[in-house]
Amino acid sequence: MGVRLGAMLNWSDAVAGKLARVASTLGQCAVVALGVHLAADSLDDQVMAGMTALQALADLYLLAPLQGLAGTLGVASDAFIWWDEIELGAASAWIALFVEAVTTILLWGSFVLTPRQDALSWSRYRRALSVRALILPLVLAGVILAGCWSLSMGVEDLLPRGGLSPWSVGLLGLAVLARFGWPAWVRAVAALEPSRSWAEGLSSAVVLAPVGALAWIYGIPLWGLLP
Amino acid sequence: MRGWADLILLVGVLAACWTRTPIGAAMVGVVSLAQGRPTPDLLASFRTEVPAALQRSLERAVALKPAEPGPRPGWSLSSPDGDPALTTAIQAHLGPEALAQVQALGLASPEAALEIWAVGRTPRDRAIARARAAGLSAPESFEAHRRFLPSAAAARANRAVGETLALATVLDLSWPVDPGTRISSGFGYRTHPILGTRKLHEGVDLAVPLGTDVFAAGSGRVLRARHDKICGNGVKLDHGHGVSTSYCHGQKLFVQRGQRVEQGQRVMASGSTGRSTGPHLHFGLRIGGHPVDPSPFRARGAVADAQPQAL
Ligand SMILES: [Zn+2]
Repeated sequence: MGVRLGAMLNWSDAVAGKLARVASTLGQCAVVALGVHLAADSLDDQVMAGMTALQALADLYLLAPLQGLAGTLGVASDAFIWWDEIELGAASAWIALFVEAVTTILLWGSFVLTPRQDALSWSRYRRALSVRALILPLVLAGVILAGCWSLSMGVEDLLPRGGLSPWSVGLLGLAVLARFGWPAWVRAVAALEPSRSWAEGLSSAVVLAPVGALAWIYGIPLWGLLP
Repeated sequence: MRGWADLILLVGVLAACWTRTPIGAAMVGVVSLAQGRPTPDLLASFRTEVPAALQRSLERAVALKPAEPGPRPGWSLSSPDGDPALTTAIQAHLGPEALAQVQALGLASPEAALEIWAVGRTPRDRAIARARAAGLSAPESFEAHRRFLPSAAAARANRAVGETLALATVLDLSWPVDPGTRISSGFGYRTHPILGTRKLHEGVDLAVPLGTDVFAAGSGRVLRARHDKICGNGVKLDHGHGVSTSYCHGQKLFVQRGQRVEQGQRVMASGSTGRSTGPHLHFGLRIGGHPVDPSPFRARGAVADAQPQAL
Protein backbone atom coordinates (compact mmCIF):
# COMPACT_ATOMS: atom_id res chain seq x y z
CA MET A 1 0.00 0.00 0.00
CA GLY A 2 2.68 2.45 1.05
CA VAL A 3 4.80 1.55 -1.97
CA ARG A 4 1.85 2.12 -4.27
CA LEU A 5 1.09 5.56 -2.85
CA GLY A 6 4.75 6.48 -3.23
CA ALA A 7 4.74 5.44 -6.87
CA MET A 8 1.60 7.47 -7.54
CA LEU A 9 3.13 10.53 -5.92
CA ASN A 10 6.23 10.10 -8.03
CA TRP A 11 4.10 9.78 -11.14
CA SER A 12 2.09 12.91 -10.37
CA ASP A 13 5.31 14.78 -9.65
CA ALA A 14 6.63 13.72 -13.02
CA VAL A 15 3.42 14.87 -14.76
CA ALA A 16 3.52 18.19 -12.94
CA GLY A 17 7.17 18.62 -13.94
CA LYS A 18 6.38 17.90 -17.59
CA LEU A 19 3.46 20.35 -17.52
CA ALA A 20 5.59 23.05 -15.94
CA ARG A 21 8.23 22.55 -18.63
CA VAL A 22 5.64 22.74 -21.42
CA ALA A 23 4.14 25.86 -19.86
CA SER A 24 7.47 27.62 -19.49
CA THR A 25 8.45 26.70 -23.07
CA LEU A 26 5.15 28.17 -24.25
CA GLY A 27 5.86 31.39 -22.36
CA GLN A 28 9.40 31.55 -23.76
CA CYS A 29 8.08 31.16 -27.32
CA ALA A 30 5.47 33.88 -26.75
CA VAL A 31 8.07 36.38 -25.44
CA VAL A 32 10.27 35.73 -28.50
CA ALA A 33 7.33 36.13 -30.89
CA LEU A 34 6.39 39.45 -29.26
CA GLY A 35 9.95 40.74 -29.50
CA VAL A 36 10.41 39.71 -33.14
CA HIS A 37 7.18 41.47 -34.07
CA LEU A 38 8.12 44.70 -32.30
CA ALA A 39 11.45 44.68 -34.16
CA ALA A 40 9.99 43.70 -37.53
CA ASP A 41 7.02 46.07 -37.30
CA SER A 42 8.52 48.67 -39.63
CA LEU A 43 10.08 46.12 -41.98
CA ASP A 44 7.35 46.46 -44.64
CA ASP A 45 8.04 50.20 -45.03
CA GLN A 46 11.75 49.51 -45.43
CA VAL A 47 11.16 46.65 -47.88
CA MET A 48 8.86 48.98 -49.84
CA ALA A 49 11.57 51.65 -50.04
CA GLY A 50 14.09 49.04 -51.18
CA MET A 51 11.76 47.61 -53.82
CA THR A 52 10.96 51.10 -55.15
CA ALA A 53 14.69 51.74 -55.53
CA LEU A 54 15.12 48.39 -57.31
CA GLN A 55 12.28 49.23 -59.70
CA ALA A 56 13.90 52.56 -60.51
CA LEU A 57 17.21 50.78 -61.18
CA ALA A 58 15.47 48.26 -63.45
CA ASP A 59 13.81 51.15 -65.33
CA LEU A 60 17.12 52.87 -65.77
CA TYR A 61 19.22 49.94 -66.94
CA LEU A 62 16.87 47.18 -68.15
CA LEU A 63 13.81 48.85 -69.73
CA ALA A 64 15.39 50.17 -72.94
CA PRO A 65 17.58 47.09 -73.71
CA LEU A 66 14.68 44.67 -73.08
CA GLN A 67 12.28 46.71 -75.21
CA GLY A 68 14.91 46.70 -77.93
CA LEU A 69 15.34 42.93 -77.59
CA ALA A 70 11.56 42.40 -77.74
CA GLY A 71 11.48 44.58 -80.87
CA THR A 72 14.19 42.54 -82.63
CA LEU A 73 12.54 39.25 -81.66
CA GLY A 74 9.15 40.60 -82.73
CA VAL A 75 7.37 39.77 -79.45
CA ALA A 76 5.32 41.95 -77.10
CA SER A 77 7.55 43.74 -74.59
CA ASP A 78 5.56 42.37 -71.62
CA ALA A 79 7.28 39.03 -72.29
CA PHE A 80 10.36 40.51 -70.59
CA ILE A 81 9.05 43.42 -68.52
CA TRP A 82 7.12 42.44 -65.45
CA TRP A 83 8.49 44.50 -62.57
CA ASP A 84 6.14 47.45 -63.12
CA GLU A 85 3.17 45.13 -62.53
CA ILE A 86 4.15 44.29 -58.93
CA GLU A 87 1.78 45.78 -56.35
CA LEU A 88 4.52 47.09 -54.07
CA GLY A 89 2.30 47.59 -51.01
CA ALA A 90 1.01 44.03 -50.89
CA ALA A 91 4.34 42.52 -51.94
CA SER A 92 6.33 44.28 -49.23
CA ALA A 93 3.78 43.34 -46.57
CA TRP A 94 4.09 39.66 -47.54
CA ILE A 95 7.90 39.82 -47.61
CA ALA A 96 7.97 41.42 -44.16
CA LEU A 97 5.58 38.77 -42.85
CA PHE A 98 7.81 36.06 -44.34
CA VAL A 99 10.95 37.50 -42.71
CA GLU A 100 9.13 37.74 -39.40
CA ALA A 101 7.95 34.12 -39.63
CA VAL A 102 11.41 32.79 -40.56
CA THR A 103 13.09 34.73 -37.73
CA THR A 104 10.54 33.53 -35.19
CA ILE A 105 10.90 29.91 -36.26
CA LEU A 106 14.73 30.07 -36.26
CA LEU A 107 14.78 31.58 -32.77
CA TRP A 108 12.17 29.13 -31.42
CA GLY A 109 14.23 26.29 -32.87
CA SER A 110 17.31 27.50 -31.02
CA PHE A 111 15.83 26.57 -27.64
CA VAL A 112 12.65 24.50 -28.02
CA LEU A 113 14.17 21.39 -29.57
CA THR A 114 17.31 21.34 -27.46
CA PRO A 115 18.11 18.78 -24.75
CA ARG A 116 17.88 20.23 -21.26
CA GLN A 117 21.24 21.80 -20.46
CA ASP A 118 20.69 24.58 -18.01
CA ALA A 119 24.26 25.39 -17.04
CA LEU A 120 26.20 27.88 -19.12
CA SER A 121 29.81 26.94 -19.57
CA TRP A 122 32.48 29.24 -20.92
CA SER A 123 34.73 26.46 -22.21
CA ARG A 124 31.78 24.86 -23.99
CA TYR A 125 30.91 28.21 -25.60
CA ARG A 126 34.54 28.64 -26.76
CA ARG A 127 34.38 25.30 -28.53
CA ALA A 128 31.09 26.39 -30.19
CA LEU A 129 32.54 29.65 -31.50
CA SER A 130 31.20 30.38 -35.01
CA VAL A 131 29.00 32.96 -36.75
CA ARG A 132 26.00 31.34 -35.11
CA ALA A 133 27.53 31.42 -31.62
CA LEU A 134 28.35 35.11 -32.06
CA ILE A 135 25.05 36.23 -33.62
CA LEU A 136 22.45 34.12 -31.83
CA PRO A 137 23.05 35.28 -28.22
CA LEU A 138 23.05 38.94 -29.31
CA VAL A 139 19.96 38.67 -31.49
CA LEU A 140 18.05 36.58 -28.97
CA ALA A 141 18.91 38.99 -26.14
CA GLY A 142 17.63 42.00 -28.11
CA VAL A 143 14.50 40.16 -29.18
CA ILE A 144 13.75 38.96 -25.63
CA LEU A 145 14.17 42.45 -24.15
CA ALA A 146 11.92 43.84 -26.88
CA GLY A 147 9.36 41.10 -26.14
CA CYS A 148 9.27 41.97 -22.44
CA TRP A 149 8.78 45.64 -23.30
CA SER A 150 6.06 44.78 -25.79
CA LEU A 151 4.23 42.84 -23.07
CA SER A 152 4.54 45.77 -20.64
CA MET A 153 3.10 48.08 -23.31
CA GLY A 154 0.22 45.69 -23.92
CA VAL A 155 -0.65 45.63 -20.21
CA GLU A 156 -0.31 49.41 -19.94
CA ASP A 157 -2.81 49.76 -22.81
CA LEU A 158 -5.38 47.84 -20.77
CA LEU A 159 -4.96 49.90 -17.60
CA PRO A 160 -6.69 53.24 -17.06
CA ARG A 161 -4.27 56.14 -17.38
CA GLY A 162 -2.51 56.95 -14.13
CA GLY A 163 -3.88 53.84 -12.42
CA LEU A 164 -0.81 51.70 -12.02
CA SER A 165 2.42 53.58 -12.31
CA PRO A 166 4.80 52.85 -15.20
CA TRP A 167 7.09 51.32 -12.55
CA SER A 168 4.72 48.47 -11.78
CA VAL A 169 4.29 47.77 -15.50
CA GLY A 170 8.08 47.81 -15.76
CA LEU A 171 8.31 45.35 -12.87
CA LEU A 172 5.93 43.06 -14.72
CA GLY A 173 8.25 43.22 -17.73
CA LEU A 174 11.18 42.31 -15.47
CA ALA A 175 9.23 39.37 -14.01
CA VAL A 176 8.58 38.05 -17.51
CA LEU A 177 12.26 38.56 -18.32
CA ALA A 178 13.25 36.54 -15.24
CA ARG A 179 10.74 33.71 -15.63
CA PHE A 180 10.60 33.31 -19.45
CA GLY A 181 13.17 35.52 -21.21
CA TRP A 182 16.33 34.61 -19.31
CA PRO A 183 15.60 30.83 -19.24
CA ALA A 184 15.03 30.89 -23.01
CA TRP A 185 18.35 32.68 -23.59
CA VAL A 186 20.22 30.26 -21.30
CA ARG A 187 18.64 27.27 -23.01
CA ALA A 188 19.63 28.52 -26.46
CA VAL A 189 23.19 29.51 -25.55
CA ALA A 190 23.88 26.37 -23.49
CA ALA A 191 22.70 24.23 -26.38
CA LEU A 192 25.19 25.62 -28.90
CA GLU A 193 26.99 22.61 -30.39
CA PRO A 194 30.78 22.54 -30.80
CA SER A 195 31.44 24.04 -34.22
CA ARG A 196 33.31 22.46 -37.10
CA SER A 197 33.71 25.68 -39.06
CA TRP A 198 33.54 29.44 -38.53
CA ALA A 199 30.92 29.82 -41.23
CA GLU A 200 28.28 27.83 -39.34
CA GLY A 201 25.04 29.83 -39.16
CA LEU A 202 26.11 32.28 -41.85
CA SER A 203 22.97 31.84 -43.97
CA SER A 204 20.53 32.20 -41.07
CA ALA A 205 22.48 35.27 -39.89
CA VAL A 206 21.37 37.05 -43.08
CA VAL A 207 17.80 37.04 -41.71
CA LEU A 208 18.54 37.13 -37.97
CA ALA A 209 21.05 40.00 -37.90
CA PRO A 210 18.80 42.75 -39.36
CA VAL A 211 15.86 41.82 -37.13
CA GLY A 212 18.21 41.62 -34.14
CA ALA A 213 19.63 45.05 -34.92
CA LEU A 214 16.10 46.53 -35.17
CA ALA A 215 15.24 44.91 -31.84
CA TRP A 216 18.28 46.51 -30.17
CA ILE A 217 17.56 49.90 -31.75
CA TYR A 218 13.78 50.21 -31.30
CA GLY A 219 12.83 47.44 -28.92
CA ILE A 220 14.54 48.59 -25.76
CA PRO A 221 13.36 51.61 -23.75
CA LEU A 222 16.84 52.69 -22.68
CA TRP A 223 18.33 54.87 -25.40
CA GLY A 224 15.98 57.73 -24.58
CA LEU A 225 17.38 57.84 -21.03
CA LEU A 226 20.96 58.30 -22.25
CA PRO A 227 22.18 61.90 -22.50
CA MET B 1 2.90 30.40 -4.77
CA ARG B 2 5.58 30.71 -7.41
CA GLY B 3 3.60 28.28 -9.58
CA TRP B 4 0.55 30.55 -9.49
CA ALA B 5 2.61 33.65 -10.27
CA ASP B 6 4.16 31.85 -13.23
CA LEU B 7 0.74 30.79 -14.45
CA ILE B 8 -0.53 34.39 -14.36
CA LEU B 9 2.57 35.59 -16.22
CA LEU B 10 2.08 32.83 -18.79
CA VAL B 11 -1.54 33.82 -19.41
CA GLY B 12 -0.46 37.45 -19.81
CA VAL B 13 2.32 36.66 -22.27
CA LEU B 14 0.07 34.41 -24.34
CA ALA B 15 -2.71 37.01 -24.39
CA ALA B 16 -0.26 39.68 -25.56
CA CYS B 17 1.00 37.32 -28.27
CA TRP B 18 -2.60 36.66 -29.33
CA THR B 19 -3.46 40.34 -29.78
CA ARG B 20 -0.14 41.86 -30.87
CA THR B 21 1.54 39.48 -33.33
CA PRO B 22 0.72 38.01 -36.76
CA ILE B 23 0.95 34.56 -35.16
CA GLY B 24 -1.95 35.56 -32.93
CA ALA B 25 -3.84 36.94 -35.93
CA ALA B 26 -3.29 33.66 -37.77
CA MET B 27 -4.60 31.69 -34.77
CA VAL B 28 -7.67 33.94 -34.58
CA GLY B 29 -8.17 33.09 -38.26
CA VAL B 30 -7.88 29.34 -37.62
CA VAL B 31 -10.32 29.52 -34.68
CA SER B 32 -12.84 31.54 -36.72
CA LEU B 33 -12.51 29.06 -39.57
CA ALA B 34 -13.15 26.13 -37.20
CA GLN B 35 -16.25 27.86 -35.84
CA GLY B 36 -17.47 28.71 -39.33
CA ARG B 37 -17.26 32.45 -38.66
CA PRO B 38 -15.76 34.85 -41.22
CA THR B 39 -11.96 35.04 -40.96
CA PRO B 40 -10.11 38.34 -40.49
CA ASP B 41 -9.29 40.06 -43.75
CA LEU B 42 -5.65 38.88 -44.06
CA LEU B 43 -5.81 38.98 -47.85
CA ALA B 44 -7.91 42.14 -48.18
CA SER B 45 -5.65 43.67 -50.82
CA PHE B 46 -6.08 40.67 -53.09
CA ARG B 47 -9.88 40.81 -53.19
CA THR B 48 -11.71 42.57 -55.98
CA GLU B 49 -14.41 44.49 -54.08
CA VAL B 50 -13.59 47.69 -52.29
CA PRO B 51 -14.32 47.47 -48.49
CA ALA B 52 -18.03 48.04 -47.82
CA ALA B 53 -17.48 50.99 -45.44
CA LEU B 54 -15.34 52.81 -48.01
CA GLN B 55 -17.90 52.10 -50.73
CA ARG B 56 -20.63 53.73 -48.60
CA SER B 57 -18.37 56.74 -47.98
CA LEU B 58 -17.75 57.06 -51.72
CA GLU B 59 -21.50 57.22 -52.29
CA ARG B 60 -21.97 59.74 -49.45
CA ALA B 61 -19.15 61.90 -50.85
CA VAL B 62 -20.73 61.95 -54.30
CA ALA B 63 -24.08 62.87 -52.72
CA LEU B 64 -22.44 65.79 -50.85
CA LYS B 65 -21.61 67.32 -54.27
CA PRO B 66 -18.34 69.05 -53.43
CA ALA B 67 -17.12 72.03 -55.43
CA GLU B 68 -15.42 71.61 -58.79
CA PRO B 69 -12.20 69.63 -58.55
CA GLY B 70 -8.88 71.02 -59.60
CA PRO B 71 -5.30 71.49 -58.55
CA ARG B 72 -4.82 73.77 -55.57
CA PRO B 73 -1.64 75.17 -54.01
CA GLY B 74 -1.67 72.53 -51.30
CA TRP B 75 -3.67 70.69 -48.68
CA SER B 76 -5.16 73.05 -46.19
CA LEU B 77 -7.74 72.39 -43.57
CA SER B 78 -7.64 75.76 -41.89
CA SER B 79 -9.37 77.79 -44.55
CA PRO B 80 -12.94 76.72 -45.35
CA ASP B 81 -12.37 76.72 -49.11
CA GLY B 82 -8.80 75.45 -48.82
CA ASP B 83 -9.46 71.93 -49.96
CA PRO B 84 -13.04 71.01 -50.86
CA ALA B 85 -12.12 67.41 -51.73
CA LEU B 86 -10.45 66.75 -48.38
CA THR B 87 -13.21 68.45 -46.37
CA THR B 88 -15.84 66.44 -48.24
CA ALA B 89 -13.85 63.23 -47.73
CA ILE B 90 -13.60 63.84 -43.98
CA GLN B 91 -17.33 64.60 -43.70
CA ALA B 92 -18.28 61.56 -45.76
CA HIS B 93 -15.89 59.05 -44.21
CA LEU B 94 -15.28 60.18 -40.63
CA GLY B 95 -18.59 61.93 -39.93
CA PRO B 96 -19.76 65.56 -39.90
CA GLU B 97 -18.42 66.31 -36.41
CA ALA B 98 -14.90 65.07 -37.26
CA LEU B 99 -14.13 67.99 -39.57
CA ALA B 100 -14.37 70.64 -36.83
CA GLN B 101 -12.31 68.49 -34.45
CA VAL B 102 -9.57 67.90 -37.02
CA GLN B 103 -9.48 71.60 -37.92
CA ALA B 104 -9.31 72.51 -34.23
CA LEU B 105 -5.98 70.65 -33.95
CA GLY B 106 -4.53 73.50 -36.04
CA LEU B 107 -1.74 71.49 -37.67
CA ALA B 108 -0.10 72.50 -40.93
CA SER B 109 -0.14 68.96 -42.25
CA PRO B 110 -3.64 67.53 -42.73
CA GLU B 111 -2.18 64.02 -42.76
CA ALA B 112 -0.72 64.46 -39.29
CA ALA B 113 -3.93 66.14 -38.09
CA LEU B 114 -6.08 63.28 -39.39
CA GLU B 115 -3.80 60.69 -37.88
CA ILE B 116 -3.72 62.37 -34.51
CA TRP B 117 -7.50 62.75 -34.52
CA ALA B 118 -8.01 59.12 -35.52
CA VAL B 119 -5.61 57.75 -32.91
CA GLY B 120 -7.19 59.56 -29.99
CA ARG B 121 -5.55 61.42 -27.13
CA THR B 122 -4.57 58.70 -24.63
CA PRO B 123 -3.01 56.21 -27.04
CA ARG B 124 -1.17 59.07 -28.75
CA ASP B 125 0.35 60.40 -25.49
CA ARG B 126 1.40 56.86 -24.63
CA ALA B 127 3.04 56.31 -28.00
CA ILE B 128 4.96 59.58 -27.68
CA ALA B 129 6.22 58.69 -24.19
CA ARG B 130 7.29 55.22 -25.34
CA ALA B 131 9.02 56.54 -28.45
CA ARG B 132 10.98 58.98 -26.27
CA ALA B 133 12.02 56.10 -24.01
CA ALA B 134 13.27 54.24 -27.09
CA GLY B 135 15.36 57.28 -28.03
CA LEU B 136 13.14 58.66 -30.80
CA SER B 137 12.21 62.32 -30.95
CA ALA B 138 9.92 64.46 -33.12
CA PRO B 139 6.53 63.43 -31.71
CA GLU B 140 4.72 65.37 -34.46
CA SER B 141 5.89 62.83 -37.04
CA PHE B 142 3.91 59.66 -36.62
CA GLU B 143 6.15 57.44 -38.72
CA ALA B 144 8.31 56.27 -35.85
CA HIS B 145 5.60 56.33 -33.21
CA ARG B 146 3.15 53.96 -34.84
CA ARG B 147 4.77 50.81 -33.52
CA PHE B 148 4.31 52.02 -29.95
CA LEU B 149 0.59 52.61 -30.32
CA PRO B 150 -1.86 50.11 -28.85
CA SER B 151 -2.39 47.74 -31.77
CA ALA B 152 -6.15 48.35 -32.01
CA ALA B 153 -5.70 52.14 -32.04
CA ALA B 154 -2.92 51.92 -34.64
CA ALA B 155 -4.95 49.72 -36.98
CA ARG B 156 -8.02 51.95 -36.65
CA ALA B 157 -6.05 55.14 -37.29
CA ASN B 158 -4.11 53.71 -40.24
CA ARG B 159 -7.28 52.66 -41.90
CA ALA B 160 -9.22 55.85 -41.23
CA VAL B 161 -6.43 58.13 -42.45
CA GLY B 162 -5.57 56.01 -45.49
CA GLU B 163 -9.15 55.71 -46.65
CA THR B 164 -9.95 59.39 -46.08
CA LEU B 165 -6.94 60.58 -48.06
CA ALA B 166 -7.72 58.08 -50.83
CA LEU B 167 -11.29 59.38 -50.95
CA ALA B 168 -10.07 63.00 -51.16
CA THR B 169 -7.67 62.02 -53.96
CA VAL B 170 -10.50 60.39 -55.91
CA LEU B 171 -12.77 63.42 -55.44
CA ASP B 172 -10.04 65.59 -56.98
CA LEU B 173 -9.82 63.50 -60.16
CA SER B 174 -11.12 64.85 -63.44
CA TRP B 175 -12.43 63.02 -66.52
CA PRO B 176 -9.71 61.98 -68.99
CA VAL B 177 -11.67 63.10 -72.08
CA ASP B 178 -14.63 65.44 -72.73
CA PRO B 179 -17.10 64.58 -69.93
CA GLY B 180 -19.89 64.60 -72.51
CA THR B 181 -18.40 61.49 -74.14
CA ARG B 182 -20.78 58.51 -74.25
CA ILE B 183 -19.94 55.56 -71.98
CA SER B 184 -20.20 52.58 -74.34
CA SER B 185 -19.71 49.98 -71.62
CA GLY B 186 -20.05 50.61 -67.90
CA PHE B 187 -18.26 49.26 -64.85
CA GLY B 188 -19.41 45.92 -63.45
CA TYR B 189 -19.95 42.30 -64.38
CA ARG B 190 -20.65 41.72 -68.05
CA THR B 191 -20.23 39.07 -70.70
CA HIS B 192 -16.94 39.79 -72.39
CA PRO B 193 -17.46 40.51 -76.14
CA ILE B 194 -14.35 38.53 -77.18
CA LEU B 195 -13.90 35.90 -74.47
CA GLY B 196 -17.64 35.27 -73.99
CA THR B 197 -17.16 34.76 -70.23
CA ARG B 198 -18.75 36.62 -67.33
CA LYS B 199 -16.05 38.92 -66.04
CA LEU B 200 -15.74 42.06 -63.95
CA HIS B 201 -15.25 44.99 -66.29
CA GLU B 202 -12.80 46.95 -64.15
CA GLY B 203 -13.46 50.38 -65.63
CA VAL B 204 -15.58 52.25 -68.17
CA ASP B 205 -15.28 52.26 -71.95
CA LEU B 206 -15.54 55.72 -73.47
CA ALA B 207 -16.57 56.04 -77.11
CA VAL B 208 -13.88 58.28 -78.58
CA PRO B 209 -12.62 58.36 -82.19
CA LEU B 210 -9.08 57.25 -83.03
CA GLY B 211 -6.39 59.71 -82.05
CA THR B 212 -8.39 61.57 -79.37
CA ASP B 213 -6.17 63.20 -76.75
CA VAL B 214 -6.38 61.49 -73.35
CA PHE B 215 -5.50 63.61 -70.30
CA ALA B 216 -4.26 62.59 -66.85
CA ALA B 217 -7.21 62.46 -64.44
CA GLY B 218 -4.97 63.67 -61.64
CA SER B 219 -1.39 64.59 -60.87
CA GLY B 220 0.98 61.79 -60.04
CA ARG B 221 3.67 59.46 -61.27
CA VAL B 222 3.60 57.17 -64.31
CA LEU B 223 3.59 53.58 -62.99
CA ARG B 224 3.40 51.99 -66.42
CA ALA B 225 3.59 53.22 -69.99
CA ARG B 226 3.97 50.42 -72.49
CA HIS B 227 2.26 47.78 -74.58
CA ASP B 228 0.73 44.55 -73.39
CA LYS B 229 -1.62 41.99 -74.93
CA ILE B 230 -4.78 42.96 -73.04
CA CYS B 231 -4.50 46.71 -72.43
CA GLY B 232 -2.67 47.43 -75.67
CA ASN B 233 -0.70 50.64 -75.43
CA GLY B 234 -1.58 51.68 -71.92
CA VAL B 235 -0.72 54.12 -69.17
CA LYS B 236 -1.18 53.63 -65.44
CA LEU B 237 -0.82 56.60 -63.10
CA ASP B 238 -0.21 56.57 -59.35
CA HIS B 239 -1.92 59.53 -57.65
CA GLY B 240 -0.73 58.66 -54.14
CA HIS B 241 -2.70 57.36 -51.15
CA GLY B 242 -3.33 54.07 -52.95
CA VAL B 243 -5.28 55.67 -55.82
CA SER B 244 -4.37 54.82 -59.41
CA THR B 245 -5.99 55.32 -62.81
CA SER B 246 -5.34 53.42 -66.02
CA TYR B 247 -5.91 54.21 -69.68
CA CYS B 248 -5.95 51.42 -72.27
CA HIS B 249 -6.06 50.68 -76.01
CA GLY B 250 -4.06 53.79 -77.00
CA GLN B 251 -2.56 54.54 -80.39
CA LYS B 252 0.42 56.44 -79.07
CA LEU B 253 1.86 57.15 -75.62
CA PHE B 254 3.24 60.55 -74.65
CA VAL B 255 4.72 59.70 -71.26
CA GLN B 256 7.39 57.38 -69.86
CA ARG B 257 7.44 55.21 -66.77
CA GLY B 258 8.61 57.02 -63.65
CA GLN B 259 7.80 60.44 -65.09
CA ARG B 260 5.76 62.94 -63.05
CA VAL B 261 2.56 64.19 -64.69
CA GLU B 262 0.19 67.02 -63.81
CA GLN B 263 -3.58 66.82 -63.86
CA GLY B 264 -4.82 67.60 -67.38
CA GLN B 265 -1.51 66.70 -69.04
CA ARG B 266 -1.84 64.74 -72.29
CA VAL B 267 -0.68 61.16 -71.69
CA MET B 268 -1.98 59.20 -74.67
CA ALA B 269 -3.76 59.31 -78.02
CA SER B 270 -6.67 56.88 -78.06
CA GLY B 271 -6.75 53.92 -80.43
CA SER B 272 -7.83 50.29 -80.60
CA THR B 273 -4.77 48.29 -79.55
CA GLY B 274 -4.75 45.20 -77.33
CA ARG B 275 -7.90 43.17 -76.64
CA SER B 276 -10.34 45.67 -78.15
CA THR B 277 -13.29 45.42 -80.52
CA GLY B 278 -13.09 48.97 -81.87
CA PRO B 279 -11.72 52.43 -81.14
CA HIS B 280 -12.42 53.38 -77.50
CA LEU B 281 -10.71 54.46 -74.31
CA HIS B 282 -10.85 52.09 -71.33
CA PHE B 283 -10.58 54.19 -68.17
CA GLY B 284 -10.03 52.41 -64.85
CA LEU B 285 -9.85 53.62 -61.26
CA ARG B 286 -8.42 51.67 -58.33
CA ILE B 287 -8.36 52.40 -54.61
CA GLY B 288 -5.92 50.27 -52.61
CA GLY B 289 -5.76 47.85 -55.54
CA HIS B 290 -9.56 47.44 -55.66
CA PRO B 291 -11.31 48.42 -58.90
CA VAL B 292 -13.90 51.17 -58.35
CA ASP B 293 -16.53 52.58 -60.73
CA PRO B 294 -15.26 56.02 -61.86
CA SER B 295 -18.52 57.12 -63.48
CA PRO B 296 -20.11 58.79 -60.39
CA PHE B 297 -17.28 61.29 -60.48
CA ARG B 298 -17.80 62.29 -64.10
CA ALA B 299 -20.49 64.97 -63.71
CA ARG B 300 -18.12 67.05 -61.64
CA GLY B 301 -16.43 68.83 -64.52
CA ALA B 302 -13.25 68.02 -66.34
CA VAL B 303 -10.05 69.87 -65.74
CA ALA B 304 -8.74 68.07 -68.79
CA ASP B 305 -11.02 70.27 -70.89
CA ALA B 306 -10.37 73.41 -68.94
CA GLN B 307 -6.60 73.30 -69.32
CA PRO B 308 -5.30 70.88 -71.92
CA GLN B 309 -1.52 70.94 -71.94
CA ALA B 310 0.37 69.66 -74.93
CA LEU B 311 3.81 68.26 -74.22
ZN1 LIG C 1 -12.93 48.32 -71.06
